[in-house]
Amino acid sequence: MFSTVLIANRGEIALRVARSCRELGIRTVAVYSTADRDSAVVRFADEAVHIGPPPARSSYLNMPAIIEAARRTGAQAIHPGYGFLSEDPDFAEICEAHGITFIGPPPHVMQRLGDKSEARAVMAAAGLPVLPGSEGALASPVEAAEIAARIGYPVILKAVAGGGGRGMSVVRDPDELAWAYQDTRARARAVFGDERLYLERYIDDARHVEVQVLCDRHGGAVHLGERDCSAQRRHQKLVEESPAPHLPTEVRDAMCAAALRGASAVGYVGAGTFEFVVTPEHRFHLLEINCRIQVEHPVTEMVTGVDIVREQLAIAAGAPLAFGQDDVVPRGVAIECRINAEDPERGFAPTPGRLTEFVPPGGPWVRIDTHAHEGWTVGPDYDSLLAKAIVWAPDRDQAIARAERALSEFRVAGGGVHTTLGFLRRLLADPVFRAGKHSTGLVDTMTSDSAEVAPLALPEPVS
Amino acid sequence: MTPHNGTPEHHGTPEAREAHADDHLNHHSGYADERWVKPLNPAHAAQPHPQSPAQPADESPQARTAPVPPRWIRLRCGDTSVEIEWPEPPATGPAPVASGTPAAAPRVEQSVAPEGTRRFVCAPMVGTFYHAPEVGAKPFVSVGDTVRSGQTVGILEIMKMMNTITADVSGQVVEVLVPDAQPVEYQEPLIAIEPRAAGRDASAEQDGGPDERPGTGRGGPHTRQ
Repeated sequence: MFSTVLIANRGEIALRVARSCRELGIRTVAVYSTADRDSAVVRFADEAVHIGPPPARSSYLNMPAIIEAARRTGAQAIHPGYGFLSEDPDFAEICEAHGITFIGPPPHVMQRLGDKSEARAVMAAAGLPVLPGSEGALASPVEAAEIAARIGYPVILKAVAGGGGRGMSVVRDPDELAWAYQDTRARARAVFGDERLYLERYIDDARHVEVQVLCDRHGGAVHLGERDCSAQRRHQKLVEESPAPHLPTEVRDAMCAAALRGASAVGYVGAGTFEFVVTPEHRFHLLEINCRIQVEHPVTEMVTGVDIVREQLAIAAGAPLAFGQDDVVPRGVAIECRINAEDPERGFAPTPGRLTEFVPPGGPWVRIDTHAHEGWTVGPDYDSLLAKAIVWAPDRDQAIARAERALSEFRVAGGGVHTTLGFLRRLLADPVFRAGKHSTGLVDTMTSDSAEVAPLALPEPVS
Repeated sequence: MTPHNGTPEHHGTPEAREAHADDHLNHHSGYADERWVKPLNPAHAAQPHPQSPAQPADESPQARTAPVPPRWIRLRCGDTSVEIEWPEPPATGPAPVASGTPAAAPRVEQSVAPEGTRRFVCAPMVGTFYHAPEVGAKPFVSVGDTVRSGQTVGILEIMKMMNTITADVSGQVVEVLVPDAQPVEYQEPLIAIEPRAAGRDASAEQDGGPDERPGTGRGGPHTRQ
C-alpha cells in the first residue's frame, strides 16, 4: 500500500478520500487553490500545498503544479476524485511518466472510453446493448438528419468528449435538429474543447440505472450492484438510491453481467460505472462509462458495506480484490440527496455566499459527506455541491422517512445562499417518487409546476 | 554586453527571456516546453493565463506595462547559444529614479498600502526555487543588492523547466526567504525587497491583489506547520 497519497481535488470528495486514506494509515497531501485555503480537507490532511489561484484551469487542472506538489511531498499516488483531471488520460500518462501512480484506469482505457462514440462502438462489439444511433462522430447536420430520420425521433445529440450530463440536447422535431446541432456543437467546443457530436435515440420516461464495478490488475472483477439516478434535473442527478426500485431481478442481473463483460472487454482497472437507460418495458441500453469515483458512490457503500475509495487505493497499489462476487450481498435501501447551494425558484441558479449557519443532521444511519461548515464561503469558482445526505434503512419506505427526517434537521443559512433542501423534501414527498415509479422526467414536471423563472445574475461573491 | 556561449539547457526558456516586458512567470504559457505544446486539457490550453480579466484581484502591474527595451536576448543555433545581456545600472548608489520608469508609469489605480514597506517576490507556481543560474554560481541577488523591476532574482524549476523569477519592484534586497533548491508553493514569498524610497516609484508599483501581499502568500493558518 502507498505511504503518501496526494488528493488532486477539493470539496467533499477530497475530504472523503482523505478519510479512507487516514483509516488505512496513509499520509495525505491536499492541494488547494487560493479560494480553498481554509477548506476542510486542507485542515484534515497531513500536508497541504497551495497550487494556484481560484480558477480551476490554474489550480485543480494545473498539471505541472499538481505533479510538482506530488514530488515535493513524496506522494506515490494521486487520487483525482471526480471531475477536474479524473478522466484525463494525458494526466494519467504524465503521472506514470513521473513514477506516480494515477488512481484510476490505465490511460489507454480512459482514452477509449472517454470518446463516447468510440466507447459505444467498443461496447456494442462486446455485446452490450446500445441505443440505435450514429456510428462514430457526426460529419454534418445533414448526416445527423439522415440518421435521425432512420432511427426515429426523439433523438439526443451528445458531445463525443462529454460526460457528467453536460453537452447534450434532446431533439423532438426534425425542424429543430439543425439548430440544436449547431448549438450543442458550440457548447461542446466551449466546455470540452471538442466539438464532435454523436446522436442516439432518446427514450422518454426512461430510468437511469448504473452499475458499479471494481476490477483489479489481475483480471479479478466484481460488480457492487446498481444505483437508480432517475431523479435528475436536466441530466444533473439530485437523488440517487440503491437498489433500483421495481427493477426485476433478472434485468438487474443482466445489467450487472453486461457491465462486467464490458469492463473485461476493455481491460478496465479500478472503480468504474456503467450507466444505462432502462425503458418502461425494462429493456436496458448502455449510455456511457465513467472512469472515476462518482458523486453518488456512497449509496452503494451503504448497501454493500464496501468502501469504494479503499478498494480504489488497494487496486492501484496492485492488490488483488480481497472479496469475490458472492461476498457482495446488498442489504436494505440507501438514498442520497444532494444539497446544492442553488435556488430552485430561479432555475437552480448557483447562490454563492458565506454560510452563517450550517448544522448537518445526525442520528442513526445518516451519513453526511460535506466540506462545508459555518463560516465557509461558497465561491463562484466551483460546483455548487454543499453536502450529500445519505441514509440507510431496511426498506425503501423507511429510507424515505429517514431521508425526510434528516433533511428536516439540516439547517443552512447565509447571505444570498439558497439550497435545494426544500426542493428535495418536495421530491421525497412526491407520490410518484414514493411509489418508485419515477423516470428522468419527474423533476422537470415538478419544476414546471412551480413556474420556473429565468435565473438572475449571480450575486457578488462574498470575500 | 556580455555575449558568451552558454550551455544550451541553461536556466530559462528562450520564451521566458524574450518576454521581458511581460516577464511574470504566469504571463507565459507556463508550458512552453515541447512536452506542453500539445493541449493537455482543453480548458487548460484554451486559457493558460491564470490571471484572467475575470479576476482583477490577481492582476499584477506587469500586465499593463508599456514595452521596454530588451535586456536579455538569447540566440540559439544547434547546440550553441549566445546570450546578450544589457548592463544593469550601478548596483549601489542612488539609482536613476527616472520619473517615468516604464514599469511604473502605466499603473493607474493604486491599491492599499501594504503592511510595512517591504515587498515580496512570490512564487508564481509550485516548483523548486534556485538562487543561482547553476550549482556553485553566484546568486542572482544577495541581501543588500539593489534590484530593478524586471531583473531576474531567481529560477523556478517546474517539471524540469526552468523559469526566471523577476522582481516586480525596484529597491534593495533585504531578505532571501527561501533557501536555495527548496520546493515552494504557489505565492510563497521568496525574496523581500525594500522599495526605493524615491517618490512614486515605490508606491506606484504595488501588487494588485490581496493574495500577493505578504503573509497571505504562504497560506497563513492553513499551511501545515
